[in-house]
Amino acid sequence: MDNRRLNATTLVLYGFVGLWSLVVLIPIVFMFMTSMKTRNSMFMRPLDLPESLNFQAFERAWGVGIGQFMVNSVLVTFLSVALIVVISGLAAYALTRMQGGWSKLTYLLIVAGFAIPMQAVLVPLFQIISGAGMLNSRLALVLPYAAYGIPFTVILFYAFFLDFPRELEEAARLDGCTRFQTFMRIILPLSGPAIASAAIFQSVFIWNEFILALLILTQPDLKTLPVGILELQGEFTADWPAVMAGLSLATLPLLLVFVLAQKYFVRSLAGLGK
Amino acid sequence: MGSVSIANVSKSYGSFEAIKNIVLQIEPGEFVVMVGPSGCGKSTLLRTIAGLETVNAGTISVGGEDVTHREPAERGVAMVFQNYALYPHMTVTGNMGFGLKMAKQAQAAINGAVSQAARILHIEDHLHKQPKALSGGQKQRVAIGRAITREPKVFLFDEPLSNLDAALRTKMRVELGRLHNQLGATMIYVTHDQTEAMTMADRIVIMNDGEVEQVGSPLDLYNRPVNRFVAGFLGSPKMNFIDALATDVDEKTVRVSLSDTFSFDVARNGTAPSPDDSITIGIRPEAFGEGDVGFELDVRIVENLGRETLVYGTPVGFASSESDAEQGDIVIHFPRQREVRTGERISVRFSANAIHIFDAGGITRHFANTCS
Repeated sequence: MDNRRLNATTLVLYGFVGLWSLVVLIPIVFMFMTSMKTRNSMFMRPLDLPESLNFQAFERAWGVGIGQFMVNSVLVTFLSVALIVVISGLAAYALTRMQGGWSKLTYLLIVAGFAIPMQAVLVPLFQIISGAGMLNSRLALVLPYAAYGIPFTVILFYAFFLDFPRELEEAARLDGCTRFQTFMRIILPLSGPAIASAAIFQSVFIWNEFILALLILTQPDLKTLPVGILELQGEFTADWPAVMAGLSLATLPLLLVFVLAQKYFVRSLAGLGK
Repeated sequence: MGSVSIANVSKSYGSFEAIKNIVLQIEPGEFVVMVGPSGCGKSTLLRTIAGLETVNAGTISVGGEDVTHREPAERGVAMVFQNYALYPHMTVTGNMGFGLKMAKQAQAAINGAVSQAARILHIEDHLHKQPKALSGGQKQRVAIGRAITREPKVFLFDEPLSNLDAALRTKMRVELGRLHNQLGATMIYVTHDQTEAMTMADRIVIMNDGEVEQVGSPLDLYNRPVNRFVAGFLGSPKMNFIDALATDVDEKTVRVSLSDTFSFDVARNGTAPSPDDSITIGIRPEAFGEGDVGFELDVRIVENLGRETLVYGTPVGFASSESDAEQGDIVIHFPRQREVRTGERISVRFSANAIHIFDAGGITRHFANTCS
């Protein structure tokens, strides 16, 4: 009886996961299929498979400067993620090791920062960046992205450092390490899973971020992928196969990173909530 | 090797006093074992010597130098942890040489020190391995090797054998004794295992509730415990305690009454209790056998261990005063195989001189005569 109920529950769960996977995967498959089609076939038979492997849409997308957009996205993402990981790592380590109520309060304030959506502060943020004369600079994206990434990453690292064996730190102290050396030589090299998952999380967000990049960057050679792909859309017409090809190109690097590092990602998320 | 002086050291966590005004002198080359029940403060004291905990009061000197406020690495001590605390991302060589590397020693000197320590501990074949590829015993050797390479004045061990199985623990105990003889180093060893304490120590420090109860050689503590706690802590199975009354005291003897019908005379050798004082007598399980006092015992449990037999039973006419002794059971140790069945009533004898007498405050008033 128990087994039957277990099987029914499992079936329902698998059914739900399967449906959810379809909801996520169908747009991606549609994107790849459309990028192989001509403009005509895309409108005539939008759900059919492409007649042949047609890469012309990719050529058109590359022609508007996808390569440069990708370089910009890589630069902005890499710098932001590096800043987020370093600052969050140091902050979370200090917060887990500090005694007294101040560290708890600081942690709570950082967690509260996680609750503020970027859209809510878009206007003042634009004014600050504009006032500082930083419009059309990569730093004007890197700093806000880092600021938005730090709270979540601190939470992630905090859970990880709470479980970090204290004896290793004490052994390092006896071996002559300062706090900073202990962090750099012992803790950081053993924090691979936490760093990997923080990096994936933030990379996905920053790589796909559109609205702030649209406001800050108007100069074509600085645009990131999501904003750059917009150039394929005219005022009255849109080259949808080329847009889909551009989006496919934008998606591939992240898919690759996720496939390679997903075990770290899952392992680190399992430790959250402490 | 160096001496260690602990002078009036106290340590509190909020209102909880973990160690209270401890005074202890450890001579160069001595192997001192600190032992006591969980939460007695022995590990805290070790950690204050290592510098991993600050003290609230008092001073700690190593090799004659006051190190109370120095960083752990500047105290001339090395510590071996219960969980080994090996760096998982480094090889055995990396682990053992890390302290010297941090001290900015030349690579040749580091290699030399690591090789020498590896030779002493017989782990030359494992130097290239990472800790996860080692067994528990090998990990513990590496942890000890890491301490040796630093050539400390004092070695500190925090329950280093607790995570090993019984056979390996016995083996490592012997190895540590050999290492102590070979290095001639001062070693302070914390354990809750009294067998380790009895077999390894030059001197044992027995701690309870943040205080030192008694310091002395293993046999001294076993034979002449200053109080009931020490008497009960050392020895396995532990000493039997029975509530009694000192009914008659003269210049040479104390008359001990276990009940209205069961009393015997004991020749005095300490500060005798006053007549009609409530006392507790202590008899070690191995003290039963032959003697001038006899009683009957209803056997409840028999443990045949091959070369010895432990018999747990309820004595007729008196009972154990231990709260955890079921039905007032006492335990008797026979140093040989003995045919005894559960439910049987047997006659047991002991010598009146084989008992300890403790007063109502637990202080020893009379020591057993251990000379046979």
